[in-house]
Amino acid sequence: MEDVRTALTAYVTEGEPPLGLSEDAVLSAARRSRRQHLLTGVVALVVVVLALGLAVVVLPHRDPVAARPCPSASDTRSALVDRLSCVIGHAVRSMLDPAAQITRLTIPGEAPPEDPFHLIADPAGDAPRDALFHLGVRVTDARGSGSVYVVIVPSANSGGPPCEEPGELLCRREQTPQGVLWLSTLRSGDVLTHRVALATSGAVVQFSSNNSGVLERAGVSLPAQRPDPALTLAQVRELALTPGLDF
Amino acid sequence: MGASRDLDFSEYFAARVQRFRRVAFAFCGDWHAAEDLVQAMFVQLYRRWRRVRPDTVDAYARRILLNLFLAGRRTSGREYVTSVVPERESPPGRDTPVRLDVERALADLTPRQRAMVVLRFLEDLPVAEVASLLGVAEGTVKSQTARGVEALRAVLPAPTAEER
Repeated sequence: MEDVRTALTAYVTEGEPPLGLSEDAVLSAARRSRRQHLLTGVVALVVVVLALGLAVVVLPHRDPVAARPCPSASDTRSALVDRLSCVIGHAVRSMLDPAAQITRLTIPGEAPPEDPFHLIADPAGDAPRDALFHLGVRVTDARGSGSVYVVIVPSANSGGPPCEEPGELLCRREQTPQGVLWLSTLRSGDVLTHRVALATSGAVVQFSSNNSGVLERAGVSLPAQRPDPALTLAQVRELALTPGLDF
Repeated sequence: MGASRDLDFSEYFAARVQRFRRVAFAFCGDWHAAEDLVQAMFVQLYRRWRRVRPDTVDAYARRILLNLFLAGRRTSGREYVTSVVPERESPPGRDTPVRLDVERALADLTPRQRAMVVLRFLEDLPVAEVASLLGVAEGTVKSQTARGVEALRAVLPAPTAEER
């Protein structure tokens, strides 16, 4: 192999030009490169810290239970409320813009619960299901504020709300595999409400949505705070048919 | 601390620049490109100068140089400004026929084959170290360098009776 060594050595030494690299120039380039490298590292670190900070600030305000499965127990009223609230929360949130703000519409004397979809259960008996379950939330997005209401009445099939109500723009009945649906759209002043009730053999589940973020109260005229209800009639219909809202 | 670091680095530069320039030239076959590679190597080495152990600094520098050559860093557009104009005349009698033949034989090798031949026979590295540097099996180094040697021998003058 000596011939190859000699040939290679001759190749790199014979006619070798003078060195074009100066120590000062290389050192200067090295220092500059090192500074740039350090600066890049610092900038990257700052970006990471900012991103983490943003995540810490923003993430707690996002829905923490969106992907969590709902509990299945219904043996106590509290467990039943937890289960139904979870199912309703998932169903409603899935229809809204992720950026929409959801806040509880509190009835007088009610402290807003941590979960805006936590149902209120007004007792009507001793069994867990013997209660009137209801809640209302305000939904605010780029188009303004509207509301979504839920009422669950665990009684035998009593039918939905009657047609021919004042201000009724639409009212129809629909037979579905889950039960009979009553769909209606009502106008009261500037406020438009889509309402759908599902009557099954064991309960009536009613969802409604309007274009006012103010709590509905008897005899109080609501201000319109967006052009249309927060949810369309089709969306409200889908909510009424949400699986898992039985007892 | 910074001054001491620069002093050490300067000493290392002065002691090794010519050797690494020759290796780089053997890698790429162009003195200007070789100086670019060597400069980029020293720049990278400087960044980690404090963390490199003195007994491994040559190996580390060689690895940088090899990676730069194989990654084609010279053509990636990253250049460092120097105060020295690189163009200069070719020394007289530089391009002898044998030299040109060696150059052609090296140019016909793949970059990795060429690197193996240079590291084995110019840098005198053992097969195991070349294999480690290139991340290949020792058998691969042996077979690839054998092909390289064969190509080089084909262009070298036949040995005289005395040399035999």
